[in-house]
Amino acid sequence: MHETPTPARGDRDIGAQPVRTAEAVATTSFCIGRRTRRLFERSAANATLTARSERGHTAIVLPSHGTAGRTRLLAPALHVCIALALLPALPGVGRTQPAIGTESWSIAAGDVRVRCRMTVGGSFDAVTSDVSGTLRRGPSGLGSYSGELRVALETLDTGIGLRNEHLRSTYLEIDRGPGFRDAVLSGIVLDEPPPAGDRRHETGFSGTLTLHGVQQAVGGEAALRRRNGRMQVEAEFALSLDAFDIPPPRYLGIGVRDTIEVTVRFEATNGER
Amino acid sequence: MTGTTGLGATVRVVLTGALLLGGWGARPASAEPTFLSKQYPRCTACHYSASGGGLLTPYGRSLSREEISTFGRQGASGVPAAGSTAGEEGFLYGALSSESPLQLGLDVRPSHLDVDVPGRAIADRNFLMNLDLQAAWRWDRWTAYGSVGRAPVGGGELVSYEHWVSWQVTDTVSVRGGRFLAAYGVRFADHTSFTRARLDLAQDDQVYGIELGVSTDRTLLQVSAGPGRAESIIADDGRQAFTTSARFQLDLSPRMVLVASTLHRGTSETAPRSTGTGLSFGYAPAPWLTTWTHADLQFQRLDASGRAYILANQTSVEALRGVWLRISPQLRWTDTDPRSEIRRMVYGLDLYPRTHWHVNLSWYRDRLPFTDRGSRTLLAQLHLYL
Repeated sequence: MHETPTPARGDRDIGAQPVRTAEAVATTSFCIGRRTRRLFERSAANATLTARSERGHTAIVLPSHGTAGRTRLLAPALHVCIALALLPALPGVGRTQPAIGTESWSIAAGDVRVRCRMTVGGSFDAVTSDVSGTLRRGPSGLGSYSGELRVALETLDTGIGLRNEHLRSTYLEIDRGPGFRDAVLSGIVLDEPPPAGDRRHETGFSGTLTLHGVQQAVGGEAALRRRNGRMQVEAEFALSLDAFDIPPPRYLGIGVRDTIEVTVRFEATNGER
Repeated sequence: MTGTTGLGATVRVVLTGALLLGGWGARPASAEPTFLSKQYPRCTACHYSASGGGLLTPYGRSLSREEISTFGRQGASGVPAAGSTAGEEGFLYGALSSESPLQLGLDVRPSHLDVDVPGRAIADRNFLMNLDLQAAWRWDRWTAYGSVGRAPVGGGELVSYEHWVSWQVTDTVSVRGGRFLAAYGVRFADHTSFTRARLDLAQDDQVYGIELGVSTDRTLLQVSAGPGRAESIIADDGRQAFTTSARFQLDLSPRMVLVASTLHRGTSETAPRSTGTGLSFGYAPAPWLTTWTHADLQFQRLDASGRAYILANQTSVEALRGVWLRISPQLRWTDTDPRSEIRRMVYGLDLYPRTHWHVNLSWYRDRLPFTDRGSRTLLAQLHLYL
């Protein structure tokens, strides 16, 4: 086995492994809970949804991230422009916030929780606090962000050593190359751009997740809050292991269901680091 | 003090001592709810029985080696990803493949008991707490389960505490029938804890009945009904009565569990109708810490008796890998008879030096506040699960 040279953080691409784009089908079981179903429905709202029943499964086809969200933003954009024009007249608003088009956020701290449902009932969490990245608000789309969120998968901890090792080596296969070591969320678009000021803002979002050498569109719900020049974000989305070519986790008769829930929380500071 | 310290108090103390001796002379369960700290809120991950305890599944055996024992762990490099327990975690060190539909277990517990009741001379006891062979046959959606062993009390005759057949109807629904312990509250491994012995959920309190289980990602519902306590039905001792139970578990998170339970026993020849309700809360704030708290309220249909209350907590800390410290305060009282109040404090040390080798040291202090008397008990036990 040879070790693939690792590019500098922020400059990585998917690596030598073949990368499939969003044509893949996300398959989820009917056994998913209401919360997970809601997250999938959010995905559907951010993209064109095709559902079909096949062998007891619902298939959700997520087209590549692109024009759908932008088209829907045209109408709200008018309202946002009017609101932005009026904002400077309000006391305390807009004075400490970066200007639209130059806004950049670097992740200062965060954690990711992946909730895995077990086939015998119950669930366990895989968690990590190794979250990094920079997001730059796009000048053309008020709710779009360039840049990425990156999670080092080798630090995922399930609380059980053997389970950690199986997760990393057998299912996530992090030794296969750079595209397998990290999970990367990019191309983030908020359904409703955050307003100026410190109010809590809840919205749907979509993005592209690269995991296990596979790119897939994902969508979910996010809550943002600005406070003292910092941005606190909590985002949730669900994904199908099968859609990312991750084999069904199973060990001595105990398995993990196909649909898992991901919660990302982070605090970002203004400006690149 | 009220002066009621004569014969009555002495009798109660002696009865308490006898209860302790008799209780520890019997078979404990083996479920360990402390594994909540490892994000295992359900018994069925490691045990065949939906109400916990008894024979371990191959998955449970593997976890016993990899996650509980101090020196048994071999790591992922030594464990086939597909899973095959052929090493020391297997039955008789790998005599049976984990892929076999038949799984066996041998449960042996030589024990030493030292009971100290002031004013009474009670000799120490060395005895075999249990010697059981457990078996399960799992084929497709069916599981047949049974245990047979030497009765720890009496003449040492053979006894089968559990035997049942279950059918996994769908991914979420299961049905089982036979002899099993009704699901109720949190099943502490110590069968003498107030939440078991004082609720008739001890080592030989299994019922004959049918149980329906509905398990989802976050909830587990277990409802059972049947003609009553199995040993009473067999012995026809007059205690058998229609018994029904319901237990609902809500997994608030993988490390936080809330359980609501009820258990109803009809009127028998020797006992009035009774109903118990309990609320249990399990929380593991860290991977090395688990705490369970159970509050219970018992009603009895007698004019003279009122309600009985139980409060119990068990907190376990994994000080080192395979070294657990345990503390368990327990309290029981009734609203009509202050003499019945009893308080217990348990301090325990559990060592798991090697796979399925468990050394249990427990020190119990029971106290009757009304008479200011009590007892102290030391249990030293080697638990071999082969």
